[in-house]
Amino acid sequence: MTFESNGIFIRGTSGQEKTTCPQCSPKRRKSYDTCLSVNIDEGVWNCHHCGWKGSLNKKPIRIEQVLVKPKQEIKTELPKDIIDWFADRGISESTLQQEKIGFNNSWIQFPFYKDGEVVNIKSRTIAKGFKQEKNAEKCFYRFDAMQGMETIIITEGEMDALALVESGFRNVVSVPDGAPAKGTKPTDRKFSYLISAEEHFMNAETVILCTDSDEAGKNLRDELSRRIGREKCFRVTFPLDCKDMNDVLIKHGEDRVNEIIADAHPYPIDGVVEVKDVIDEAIDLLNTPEHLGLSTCWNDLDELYRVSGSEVTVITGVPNMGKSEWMDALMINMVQEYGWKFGIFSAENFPVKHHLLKLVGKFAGQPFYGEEKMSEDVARNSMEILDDHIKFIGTQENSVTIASIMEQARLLNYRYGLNGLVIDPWNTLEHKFGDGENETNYVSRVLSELTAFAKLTELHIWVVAHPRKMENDVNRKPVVPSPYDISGSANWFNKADNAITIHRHRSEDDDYVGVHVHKIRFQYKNGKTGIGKLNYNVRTGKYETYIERPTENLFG
Amino acid sequence: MKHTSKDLQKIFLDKTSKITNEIFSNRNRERHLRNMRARLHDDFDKIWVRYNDNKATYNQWQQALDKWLKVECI
Repeated sequence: MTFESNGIFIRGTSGQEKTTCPQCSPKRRKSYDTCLSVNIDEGVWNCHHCGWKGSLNKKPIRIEQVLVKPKQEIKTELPKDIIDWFADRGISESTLQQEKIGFNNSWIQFPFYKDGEVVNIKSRTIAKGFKQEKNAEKCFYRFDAMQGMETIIITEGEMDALALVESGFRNVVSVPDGAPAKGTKPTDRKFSYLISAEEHFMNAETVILCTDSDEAGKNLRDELSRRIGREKCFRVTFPLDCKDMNDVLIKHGEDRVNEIIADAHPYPIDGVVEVKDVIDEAIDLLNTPEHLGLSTCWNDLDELYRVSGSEVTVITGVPNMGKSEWMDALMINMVQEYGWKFGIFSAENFPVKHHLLKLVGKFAGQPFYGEEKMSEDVARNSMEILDDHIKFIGTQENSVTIASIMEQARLLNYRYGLNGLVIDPWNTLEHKFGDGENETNYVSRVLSELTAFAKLTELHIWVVAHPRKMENDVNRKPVVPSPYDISGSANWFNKADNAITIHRHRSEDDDYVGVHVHKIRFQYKNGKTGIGKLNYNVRTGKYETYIERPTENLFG
Repeated sequence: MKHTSKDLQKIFLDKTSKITNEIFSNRNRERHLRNMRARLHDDFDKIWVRYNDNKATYNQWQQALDKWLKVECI
């Protein structure tokens, strides 16, 4: 088997190469986009757009589920009682015919068209019973309506979409499964329909979110805006007596629907926040005064440092003092305790397999080397779980810039819903200074971009950065560096939300890892400055509660 | 068990019976892993309830079970 026989055309004879994907590129608008990464030496490939992967040694595998198209035909002849039922909801018969709404054996059928073909049928009864085709593709209802549109309107249900169509809008789509129930986690599977629409949202300038005004609708709106990008998302406000767009059409008519869409207002992202935009969130905060950041899962650090979304934490320390180890351990703690998902750029730990084993050691609490190393079963089980939570980024490019990392993190967030991003270390990135820009200005600009990115995506971003030079104290031991010592500028301290130094304190009497918290921006929820102590377990690579050595012989 | 042709109890018992006493007694008792086990067990319970209410699919049920049992084997 050759690359050519799989439809993959490459120019080189060795190394890594990017080319177009024979599976998805011909169907894409950006058909020239080189989304397929090919490792010529190892004979493997992976498409970052459609997920097609395979190798020359075995048959290419597609990890996607096999999708089935509905076999039944849509009968668009509707009984009179169904037409009347729609009419009661403000939807006319001509709209029903235009949208090819069907009816079969007491089920009203909403066909999901994609590229002109019916890929799914959602059925409902008048009594609000719902069903969908088994193994059908999850995509937006009225998918084709958003092709090439500068503005896309997203609703929570098919009836709301029809209400907008009835009012004269064409660029309307609906999510296929409504809003996730209150209290449930927004899983990737639930939002898998976003993947096929990725290109349309990238090209659209404005996305208007018309979800219901209840709690579930707001959750859906927030999650959609987080994944699509808040810079292009607008939201609408319904009259107090209406909970969705269909209600508005029934109670107030088409003109009011048009007014609501025209009055859609952007998410507060451009540095201007109106009070009315944050009233609900502030009241929520008021009602939960004990709303703290998440614990790092080291009890001794709870008073000093807690983790909240939308923040940037800078970590520094003398080389070989355990900055990256501590960061990895913190990441594994967050995975185990809260199921967080991370994008990691960790250049010093390449190749990835080596880094993965280190993470697995921490995850399983067992060493991955030596006589007591973990069994293969334990390693496999751990890796399969970590696969859901950890994505390595910046691994394929020769030069990795902060912009490319943010772009990859944005796509990962879109697809999987990340919680954290780790950049370790800063100095291995390729830094591209602007015209006339010195290092201080550059660091200031990039940290501002990172902070804005964290706020937009609600990620917590950790940046590991080396100090510019080591200084020794009178005992010739390295002095604990502060964020002001990071090479670049004082902006590291000024612009980051939190700043931490990891320092190993070794002496004849004691040996512990000091977590020096230099700065916490939101002290009411995330901790305060101070020094926390942890013990490092070399065998497992985990950090444990510090136990002070007794200063006197307790046994006499 | 309503609205399903699959015998979830049987599948559940078949899968859990593969965790032998030896595996169970050799599990890592480290605090974070114990918490993760409890959390995934809890998630699985919730999904089973949601499945019974027709709000979750069999695939979700199976994935939650597999994920929890993988952690139980570490």
